[in-house]
Amino acid sequence: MATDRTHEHHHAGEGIDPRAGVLALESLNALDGYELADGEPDIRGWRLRATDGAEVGTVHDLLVDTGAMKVRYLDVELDDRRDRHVLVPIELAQLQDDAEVVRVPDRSAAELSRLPTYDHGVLTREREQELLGYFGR
Amino acid sequence: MAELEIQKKPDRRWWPWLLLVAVVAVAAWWFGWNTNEDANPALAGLPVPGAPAMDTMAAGDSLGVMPVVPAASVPGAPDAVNDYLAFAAEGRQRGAVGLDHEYTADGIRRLADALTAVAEQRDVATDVVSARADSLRGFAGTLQEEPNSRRHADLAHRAFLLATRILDDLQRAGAGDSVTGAVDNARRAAEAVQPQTPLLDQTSAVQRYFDAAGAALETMTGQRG
Repeated sequence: MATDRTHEHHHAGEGIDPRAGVLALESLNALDGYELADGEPDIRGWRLRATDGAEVGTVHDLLVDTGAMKVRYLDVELDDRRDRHVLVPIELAQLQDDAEVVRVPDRSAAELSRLPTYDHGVLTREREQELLGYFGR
Repeated sequence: MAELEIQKKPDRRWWPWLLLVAVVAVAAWWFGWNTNEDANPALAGLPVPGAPAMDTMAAGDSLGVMPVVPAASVPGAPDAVNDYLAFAAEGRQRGAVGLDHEYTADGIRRLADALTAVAEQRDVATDVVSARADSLRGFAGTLQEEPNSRRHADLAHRAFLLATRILDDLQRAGAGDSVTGAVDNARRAAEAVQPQTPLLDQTSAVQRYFDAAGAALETMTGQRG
């Protein structure tokens, strides 16, 4: 459902549909015609590590902006509660290719585990602001 | 911090085109095949009255036998004639399978009965035809009982010539000129059976004779010519 809605708006450009405040982000897993650019690591399946070194989950999917042709968020499945997913802005992550780990500096495991649940619904600008608030942005 | 870019996947959807080409090729082949069959139904292996049959056409008979496919029955003809025609039609449908010396003997007997029935129906040459038909049945019995398979072709060859002689008798006794060509064709078909060649290697020639004799009977009973 969420994927369908975002598909409807992906043409809006800059990742935002100005009509509804819906972020035109799409699941790369569900997107047929797109892939990570040549040379970019496919971080799906990589572990998410907090600043204190604790691994808190696994990158399950990537939310991409097909207007900007960039990845915007990591859809992470947490270890603490099964099936609970959270979003992590990719610009706050560091990729450690050799260890296949995505590191989130300045955020502890406890802080990451308190991120709001991403239910794969429509991601609105409002919810994005809420999410970014957890990261102090 | 991290940044990842995406790109559009190259179009790898070549397989629908391949599928389309395959479908078109099959359709073209199928259409062409059926068109050819329509142009010459005999090539489809279907029995067409009066038309050359497929295997016999392919045989390219050097003795000038005109391959024919008689009707499976003729309205108004004696039962024995229709019985023979049905027998020949069944043999055509079976092809080479089962066309052994017993099949040949059975055909000869049925042909003898059919020839006798025509003579009786037309009330011509009944004595001569009856006597020769008995001899024909004798050939059939010998053919069936003969343990030496190398003699089977010779017996069949002679039986076919005798049957053709009876056809000739019937023609001369009043069957009319329209039968002449069919009887001549049956004679050529009888001569095409090689006495020295195993009969099992001549199943097409045997069937061709039965068909030629059937066409002559069909003509005589008033439905051909």
